[in-house]
Amino acid sequence: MKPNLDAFLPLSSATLHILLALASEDRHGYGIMLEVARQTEGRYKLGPGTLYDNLRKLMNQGLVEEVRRTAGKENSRRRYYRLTSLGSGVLAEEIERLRGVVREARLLLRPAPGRV
Amino acid sequence: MRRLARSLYCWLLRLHPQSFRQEFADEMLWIFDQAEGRGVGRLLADGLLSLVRQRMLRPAAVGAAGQLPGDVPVFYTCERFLPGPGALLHGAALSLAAFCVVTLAFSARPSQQKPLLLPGLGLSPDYQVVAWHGPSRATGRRFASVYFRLSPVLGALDANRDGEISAAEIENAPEALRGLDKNGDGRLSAGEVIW
Repeated sequence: MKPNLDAFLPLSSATLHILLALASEDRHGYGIMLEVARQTEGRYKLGPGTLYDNLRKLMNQGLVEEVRRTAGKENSRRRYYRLTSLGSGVLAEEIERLRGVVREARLLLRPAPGRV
Repeated sequence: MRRLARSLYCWLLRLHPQSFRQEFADEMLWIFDQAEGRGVGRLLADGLLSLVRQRMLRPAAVGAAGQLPGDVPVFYTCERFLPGPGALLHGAALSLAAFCVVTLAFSARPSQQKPLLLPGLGLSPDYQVVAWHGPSRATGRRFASVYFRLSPVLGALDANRDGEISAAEIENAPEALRGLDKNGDGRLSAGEVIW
């Protein structure tokens, strides 16, 4: 049975950015923080408390899963996280929803002809 | 300053619920160690917010009324969740009350209070070791035996574990006490004689 993706929407900013950070590759917590900072050009800084609170929620919802991977000595304590197929679906739905929001906003905010 | 901030952050992490701490505290501390300068203050604020969020908004398996599913009181379970500070405080108060009740029960009959004196020491009764004041000698000995086992110093003195410190054991006391001096500095500190 196809899951109802709408039940997960809309996503909070932190959730959206975390899912987006995991869209390209598996990352550990610090990697997610760095990727979010990169994607937002440093305008949105995710703290570890917020990050792990959201990661735990996302794992409970089945949108993200932990990945077991062998790492070097330095990274042995790190845990990696991956987007599940459900998470990818939810992210795609959210992006589609945001696309509609942006489209509507552009229409409404477009300067009317003859208006300064 | 940096060490102080780190200690503070460690304490914040320790105050998080156990399940969250077990899962993420190591990584959170590692991330804290990567931070520099002003980022440390931001992480401390984030840790504090996280603590409030986990305690107030994320009761996880423990319900708001301190119940696990099925109305099982948290205090009586051996789940991975530790009792909260309130439950620990109640436990401490109950333990103290129970200890007081037992103590009063054993000392409530002053007419029968007779010190259990150690014979044959040649000491005046004031200087003899009194193992127990109580209603019966046998009960007293049992209690003293437990008490001696619980106290490292008395346990060391009472070499044969009979709940009494005999004359021979008193003579050997300096040697027995030296055995507790783990760092060999000739003195016994609280850390060396603590349970």
